[in-house]
Amino acid sequence: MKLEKLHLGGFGIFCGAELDGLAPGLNVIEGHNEAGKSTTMEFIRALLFGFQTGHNAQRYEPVRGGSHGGWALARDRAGRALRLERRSGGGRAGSGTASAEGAEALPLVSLVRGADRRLYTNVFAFSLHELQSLESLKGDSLYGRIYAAGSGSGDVSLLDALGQTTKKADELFRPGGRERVLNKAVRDRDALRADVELLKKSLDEYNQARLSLDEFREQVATLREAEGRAREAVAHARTLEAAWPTWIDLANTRRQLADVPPVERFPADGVARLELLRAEVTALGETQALLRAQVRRLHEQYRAAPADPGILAQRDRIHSICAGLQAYTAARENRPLAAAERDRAEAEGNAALGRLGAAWSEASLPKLDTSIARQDEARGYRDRLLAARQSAAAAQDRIGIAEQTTHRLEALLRRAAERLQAAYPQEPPPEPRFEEKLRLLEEAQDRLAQVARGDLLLNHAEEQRQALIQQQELLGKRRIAAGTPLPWWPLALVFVVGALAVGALREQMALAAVVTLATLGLMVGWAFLVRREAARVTAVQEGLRAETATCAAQIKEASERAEKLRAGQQEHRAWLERLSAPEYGWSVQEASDVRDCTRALQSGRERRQAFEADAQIVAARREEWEASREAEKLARKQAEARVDAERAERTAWEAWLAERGLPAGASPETALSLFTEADHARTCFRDRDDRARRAAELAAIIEQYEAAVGELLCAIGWPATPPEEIPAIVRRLPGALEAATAADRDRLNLVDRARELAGEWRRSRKRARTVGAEIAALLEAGEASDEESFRLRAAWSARRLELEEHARGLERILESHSAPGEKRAQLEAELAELDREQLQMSADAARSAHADAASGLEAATRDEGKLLERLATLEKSEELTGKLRELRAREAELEEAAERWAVLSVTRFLLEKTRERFEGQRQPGVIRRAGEIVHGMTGGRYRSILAPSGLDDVCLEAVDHSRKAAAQWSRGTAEQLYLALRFAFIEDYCSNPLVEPLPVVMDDVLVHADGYQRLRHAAEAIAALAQEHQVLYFTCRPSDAELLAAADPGARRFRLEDGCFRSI
Amino acid sequence: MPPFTFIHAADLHLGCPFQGLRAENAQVASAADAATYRAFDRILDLAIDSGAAFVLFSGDVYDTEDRNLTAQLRFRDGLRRLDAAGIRACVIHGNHDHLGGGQATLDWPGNVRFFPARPSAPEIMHLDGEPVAAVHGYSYPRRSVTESLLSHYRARSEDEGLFRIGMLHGNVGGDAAHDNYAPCTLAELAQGPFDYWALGHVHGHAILSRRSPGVVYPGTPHGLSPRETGGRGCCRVAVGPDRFPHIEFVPTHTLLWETLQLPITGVETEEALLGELERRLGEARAAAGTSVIARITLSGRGPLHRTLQNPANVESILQHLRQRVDGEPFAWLDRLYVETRPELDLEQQRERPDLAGDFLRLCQEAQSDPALQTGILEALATFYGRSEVRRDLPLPTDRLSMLLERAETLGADLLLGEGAE
Repeated sequence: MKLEKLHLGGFGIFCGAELDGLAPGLNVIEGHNEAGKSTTMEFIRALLFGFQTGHNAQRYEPVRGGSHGGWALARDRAGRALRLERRSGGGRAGSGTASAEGAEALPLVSLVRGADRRLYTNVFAFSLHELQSLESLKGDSLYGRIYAAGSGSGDVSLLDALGQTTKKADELFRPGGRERVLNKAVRDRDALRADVELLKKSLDEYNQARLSLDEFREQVATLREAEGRAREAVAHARTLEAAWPTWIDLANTRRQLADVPPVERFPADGVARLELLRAEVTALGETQALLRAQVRRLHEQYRAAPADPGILAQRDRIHSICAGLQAYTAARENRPLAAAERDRAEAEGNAALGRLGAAWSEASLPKLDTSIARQDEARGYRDRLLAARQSAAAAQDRIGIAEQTTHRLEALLRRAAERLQAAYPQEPPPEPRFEEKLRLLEEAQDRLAQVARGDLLLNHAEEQRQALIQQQELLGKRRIAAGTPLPWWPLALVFVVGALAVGALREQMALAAVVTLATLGLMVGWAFLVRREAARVTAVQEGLRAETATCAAQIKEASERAEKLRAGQQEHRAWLERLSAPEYGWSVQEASDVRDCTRALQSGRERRQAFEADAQIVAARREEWEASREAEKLARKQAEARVDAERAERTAWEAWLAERGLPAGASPETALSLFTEADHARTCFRDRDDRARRAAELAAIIEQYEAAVGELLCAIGWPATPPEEIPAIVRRLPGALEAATAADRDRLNLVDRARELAGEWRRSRKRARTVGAEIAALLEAGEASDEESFRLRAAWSARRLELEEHARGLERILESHSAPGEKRAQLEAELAELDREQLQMSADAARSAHADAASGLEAATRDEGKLLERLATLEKSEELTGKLRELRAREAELEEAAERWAVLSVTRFLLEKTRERFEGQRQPGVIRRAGEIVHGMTGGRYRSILAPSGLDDVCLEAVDHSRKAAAQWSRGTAEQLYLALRFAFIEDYCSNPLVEPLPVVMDDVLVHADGYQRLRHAAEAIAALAQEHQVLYFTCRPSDAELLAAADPGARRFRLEDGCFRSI
Repeated sequence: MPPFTFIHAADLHLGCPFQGLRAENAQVASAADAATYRAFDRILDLAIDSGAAFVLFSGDVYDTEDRNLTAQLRFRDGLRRLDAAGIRACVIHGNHDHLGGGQATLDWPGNVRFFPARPSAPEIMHLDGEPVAAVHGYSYPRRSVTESLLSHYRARSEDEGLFRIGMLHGNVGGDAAHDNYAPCTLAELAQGPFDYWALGHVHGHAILSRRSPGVVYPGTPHGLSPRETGGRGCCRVAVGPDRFPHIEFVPTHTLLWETLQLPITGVETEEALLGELERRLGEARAAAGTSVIARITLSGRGPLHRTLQNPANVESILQHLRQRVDGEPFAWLDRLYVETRPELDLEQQRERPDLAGDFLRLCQEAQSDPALQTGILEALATFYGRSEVRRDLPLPTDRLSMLLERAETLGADLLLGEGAE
């Protein structure tokens, strides 16, 4: 992404400031301290990655007004124009969007995917503060962002993926955790297992309870037996107590019975029966007198009642006449109405005839066929005539529309042809083998890159070869310096010979011998030392020889490698040379040439495609116009055919009218209305005839009814009456008939009642005789001569019966306390031997014994009940199955969660491994590239960076192969190294085609660079970076700006003053 | 010998919980807990309705050797029902409820014969006072009986003419899916004078021989674990005057385990997936005619793959479907396994030149690289190696390949998916 314009709407000191016209390469912005350079860099950071968040965040709220945030215009890697915008809201970081022309705005995070604020601040947009720290380039997070940026097609980088899997796995399990899913699941499972084990022990408890229950049952049975005996004793005592009053009463009754005289035989209820019979005799006498008086009164009433036999004989005729009265009255009322209706129908029929026309009469009406079929025919003609007329009109309309369409299409065709002609005076040539050429250009790009890389490698190989040659020469010199040991024996021989000669000459042989011996001894010592030195020198010489041989081999190898590289370079160049052939006509020297050729190729292809699209539009317009013309001709033909069809329909209609005798020229609607009138006239005349028949029928009804009424009146003896009074007379007839009927029924009732009373009187007399006989028989049965003695014997008998009954009742009570028969006798004998006090004492003793036995039994039963209850509880317990099911479920859940955790852990492990490998593969390349940059920035003082264990162990290798660890770097050297590392990281990050390159922003990072040369080299390195990447360099030092401008003539310079940017 | 009918059941496993069933719903939990008892009740109903002369229970009446008390009481009550109906019963104990385990002291009805763990006289069964069958049996004295028990089954000469039945709890023909207890072969069983071998131990229904003699596993009356899908029941055996047994399998289950597969290919939305799951559950319930406990595996490639990778989403789907359970018969979704694959072609993605390609290649490499596998197992040992875990959940060395495949899918989803959560 390359920025073209910045708009700082409201950000720190800026309010609506704009930095326009940014170059895609190097941009240098000068400004004094506090002018807003750091603020601008922070604006770019915030624009891309959101406002700072956190406790100590600097959000650069606008101090001079304006909406917090701003926007920028930029182009992405594909050259697409973008508008980037960041506004406050949507969270502390604000909302950032990126929108291309004609496309929906997307979150900015989707554009800068793979990168985050930390990466951008530490690698792409940094100030001196960030630059000075190597630590800011360390850390897994940053590595992950650099190495794994845009690693996938999604928005998730490797680091995000690692973070997600770690988080999810940790949610499931952490060693030492308590509330994590798996930790908790294991704990729950163990707790459930303990519960289940406890529940399984319930079986032992149950068996123990069963044994105890058997023992308790035996005890309870013994106690229950004892309690039963005590209960029986208490019951016996209670029986005696209860029977005691009865026994006393029974003894008294038996004594009273002995005092009453005996009565052998006496009729039951004799006195009462005697009194009843005497009362009945008296009542029967009174009834007979009353009946005689009533019969006399009935005879008198019968004689006084009237009778009318004539009207009763005419009952049926009266009913008939009354029933016909309503019909008679209605006939009299309807006869004049029927006549009026008849006259009205006749008049209406004549009127309809008149509307039909003078030619039509009642007699001629049947000749006109107005059936449904004829009406349908007329309607059919009507519809066909209407359709034909409308069809003809529609055809005419279509002709008009077709003419308009043809004119419109003709105009469109003309305009399209004119546009095509204007846009393409000459037809753009087709672009054959476009894809192949595009592939060739892509390959050319690759080959150019390989040529460039080959040049670098060649230089490097040459440098290496030269260094090896120098090393070889050095080794030669060292071999020579090491020398060869001299032989020791000639010298020893010279000394010995010399000593012997001197001794011989001076005749001091002893001395000579001593000297000789001493010399020989010294020589032997010397020889020993020389031999040792010779052995060492030989070893050194051997080592140097081997090193020299190795060096020679390396030189040879370097030469061969260089040769291979040269051959490859030549092959690439030859291949690129072929592109200048006429078939392609491309002169490809640099990457920009390839881009130009690609652009030209694509432009030609696009122009041809646009031309073909426009030509297709013109051809389509022409086809549409010709089709419209054809449609117009067809419409005309159709219109003529429709007019002919309408004419034929009209002729057929006229023939139809003539055939029906209807007036010529009449329309189908007229014919249908004539049919309607004729039907109406026919209906009216039929109605008139019906009304006339009805009037005649009514007259006949009236006449018959009046004759019948006259005959009836004559029969019942009433006078004749005029017709208008007949209804009133007839209405009186039912009342008269009803009165005669009621009088007759009363007489018959009187006769029946008199007969009943006579029968009753006779039955009363007979009953009186029977009652007298019964009284006599009763006295005889009671062995009494009269009624007085009968009553005395009755009193004696009643008293005896009463006492005997009472005694029997008492005996039954005693039997209820014991059993009948002998047991009652035993009870009476037992009671006879006791007195009241003895009875009470024995009862109290029995109750006490029973209470003791019952309490013992109750306690034992209670304990047995508890045991039974516990057994029932154990038997009803369903807990174990539920707990087991729960345990199995928990175990299954644990297994599933463990499986999920295992998948996450394996994923995490593999992602970690992938990252390690990825870094391992790419980091050496980055370090090597950083070394090359350092080499340039230090003017060749340092040749490479060595980082055998990553950035934790970085040292610089000088040209003389000496190494400098971090502690030995000067501040300027360290900053150059850090800058180089960042540049290498930036190149590596942006080399990934899946990520969007980010603008590089530096804020006065060269202020510590001392010396012109160092500054110049640094500026050249920045300029080199700006060849491929957009760089915004902020500085307060004009000299730095000058250097940068000198290093990159294409650089654009701006000045920042008073919150405004100005192009220089 | 008059014709008669008897019921042959085995492996009741009374009180056995459903293995791994997750039933938060009280109704489902209650139905699951009572399932073995209800199946037992159905056997009793069948015996009474069929007018059976006797019922045989060929071992593993209870699920565990400590014999759940409730299960023993329910079994006693069931035998009392048979006693009231004038039906006799014979019981042998198997490896799950062997005589070495705990027993409740219960008052057993007089119609039942428990065979001991020693050779004993056969039980003579009568029909209307006339002897019709001689039943031989032998109970396990301990859990593991690895020797053949056939020598304990000795027919008596005085039972000649009766229908001879041997009740045996064991593995006939060496079924590898079951412990090889009381092993014997079909040929050995066919050699003896027995007319019918009432077998137990193998949970699936199987008729090894229809006659001369009939050799039958009735199977469990109820599916006890997700592996035991399909209808379960017992056998009704009608013996005619010809002494040939006519064997009929009668289902007795009240809950059915179902394992279903549902490809997500073409299922575009969560709503559609829910509808499809509901439809499949409804179909399973309708086909079973009883309540169903289902485990559904989602497979195939489809747009919902990423959604289903989030366990919370899967749990939501489960809860949604479980809320529909109301009354019996129900269809309870016990598990929803997600074995879907991303829509990407991983083999093609493996060729990528970037980090995602490196990851996929590493996954493939890990399938055969012992060093990588050792590293993975060391990472897994942080959990699986814990003392309280390793007894039940050993280090998944045998499932490493599957774990790697799932890790590959997950990693590919994260690196190549359409966005992170």
